[in-house]
Amino acid sequence: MQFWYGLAQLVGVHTILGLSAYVILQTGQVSMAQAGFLAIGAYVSGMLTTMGGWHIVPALLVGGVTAAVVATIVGFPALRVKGLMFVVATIAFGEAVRLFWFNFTYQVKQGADMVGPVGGEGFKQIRYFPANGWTDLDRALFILGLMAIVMAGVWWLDRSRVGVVLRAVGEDDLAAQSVGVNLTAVKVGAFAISGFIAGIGGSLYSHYTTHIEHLNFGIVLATFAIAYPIVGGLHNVFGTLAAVIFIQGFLVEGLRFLGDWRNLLFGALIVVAMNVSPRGFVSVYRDLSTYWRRRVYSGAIFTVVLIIVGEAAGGEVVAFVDGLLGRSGLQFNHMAWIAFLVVMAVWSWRGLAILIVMIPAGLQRLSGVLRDSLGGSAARRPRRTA
Amino acid sequence: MFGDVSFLDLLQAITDGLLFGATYAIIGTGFALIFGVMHKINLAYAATSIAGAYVSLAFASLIPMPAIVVFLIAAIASGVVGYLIYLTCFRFIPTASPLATLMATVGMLILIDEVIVHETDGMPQPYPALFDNVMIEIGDYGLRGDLLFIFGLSIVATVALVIFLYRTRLGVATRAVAQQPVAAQLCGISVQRTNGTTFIMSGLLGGLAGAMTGAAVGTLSPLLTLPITIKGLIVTVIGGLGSIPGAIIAGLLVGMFENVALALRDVQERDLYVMLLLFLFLAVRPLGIFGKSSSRD
Repeated sequence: MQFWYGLAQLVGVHTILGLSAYVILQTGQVSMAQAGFLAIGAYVSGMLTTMGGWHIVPALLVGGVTAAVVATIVGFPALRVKGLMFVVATIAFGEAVRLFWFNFTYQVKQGADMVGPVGGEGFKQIRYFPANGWTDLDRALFILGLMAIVMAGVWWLDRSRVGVVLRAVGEDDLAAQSVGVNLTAVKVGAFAISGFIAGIGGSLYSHYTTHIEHLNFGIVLATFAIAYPIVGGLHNVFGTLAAVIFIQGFLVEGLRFLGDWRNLLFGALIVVAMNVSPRGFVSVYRDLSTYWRRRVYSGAIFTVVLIIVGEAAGGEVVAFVDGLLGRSGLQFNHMAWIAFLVVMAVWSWRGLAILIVMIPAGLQRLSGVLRDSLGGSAARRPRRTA
Repeated sequence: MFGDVSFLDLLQAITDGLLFGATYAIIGTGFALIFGVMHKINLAYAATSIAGAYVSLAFASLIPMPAIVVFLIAAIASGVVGYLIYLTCFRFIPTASPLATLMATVGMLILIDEVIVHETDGMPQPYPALFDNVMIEIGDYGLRGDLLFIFGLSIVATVALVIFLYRTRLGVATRAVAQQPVAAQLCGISVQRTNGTTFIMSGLLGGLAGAMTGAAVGTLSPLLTLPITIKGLIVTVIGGLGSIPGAIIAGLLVGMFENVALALRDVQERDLYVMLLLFLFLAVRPLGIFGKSSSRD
């Protein structure tokens, strides 16, 4: 069960990170600054609980607010530019934050030893959870609960007038401006909200890993942050969650037994997924008929139940399966994921396709591309260019 | 703040940085070329150039060959990888989904990095140094031979690029597609083929830059790709999007600035100042040195 609690915490933190990128993506800006905000939240709240002896909830909020304040300050110059320039500006900001923590050392004496961040060595002993006797289940529930709150908040934001304004700016900022939307206020506001969410995610991150260092918050994490909403689709918040489960649960954790090859497959799968489904998972899911949608749902629920029952049955099942698999180098956790895929395949082959590379949609698109290029329709059908 | 850095040290740092900045200038030019034609970013570009350098290293370790051949192999290999990236990340993804393209190039960046890690077990590989012991010395002041060679080579590459763009039919087609893809198509130019050639051209440049970086640093490592990607992007933005002269000037500027920061402060803080330089430009001149205000079309 340990593994699943860990996975739940990982998914929770990464979903919050993905949602923070989701908000700013709604305004049409690709922000690579999310890892930076995550770092700010992580360090600030870590220092508050470890060195200041705060409770986690206020520390969490202060971490989020600090990140939001920094986002507002940086937002004014950074959001003067858009598109690629904004991407580069936010990459630079993220790197600047990382390098700031790389050069930042501040320790206080606590009992026998010194605690606090030490430049390149990182920030160790963020031991709020173990020190207060939180079990793995407590942590997982706490993080998932916060994830649910953030998700509900962003979902509500999406459906409110605010969401409409954000998307209007994202679709066409000039048109939005011409109907009286204050672009700077909207963009900086969205940036601040996304900073706040990422700050909270960072606070959870530092407390659940107990040890952070500047290298955790590099450009790779920033890429992951925007990858979740892009892969999941910008239609609703659940796409982000699905993408986190797919990327962190399946690609990163589930394929661990592939060893070195996993990372190779990882990059290749992103390329394939973007080719066959440029609008994200959710759009593919939407294209499915109700009949197949039901199968995808029930397949997923059935598998989760299967896993929980299997784990709850206790160590014997796991030990038995591990014993059977001993020679192949696989473990129960891997088998559970493979079982997940098999069940998805049996219950609905399209569900499997969604999970891996969304083959049907891909074929459909591929045939479209082939028809386009073979039939030379470019000349017949004038295409609008941006 | 400045410690005891003498004027001569500062001058030395400026010239070394300026000469090494040539690699940034070339990388920035490659980014600008792709952005100019497709209005998209290829985040896998720096990985392409490092991949080319690795291929040339593999050839060089098999058969001993002169430096210039090693550089040529790097350029050609990068051109091939560049075309592959065009096929996998740009060709079949609709223009209307710029985010999907961006993500796909990140996927390629990870893939190329991991292929390199897989093939070399993650160990940095020594890259054959050029003119290692050539120094032009004027008193205490010296010019490193290999950096001079790099600088000269990048001038040659830039001149070749300019000749390609302004003196050949393909170059005219490239500029036409960059300016107005629909009109270019109406004139019978194949947009897709032109885009593909642009990727090959930028790949050739990138391979040179990768080999130059390898030769100047002395080792090749997959850890090089991310810093080069970031520096290349910064150069593109400081120079102005899609502007080749801007990229060249900004590349030299960033190289120089970085080296001066290194001489005055230390290596941990160096990149922090480069980021600050970028923010200064964003605040004062958001469109970059040669940026044109984008028209709405």
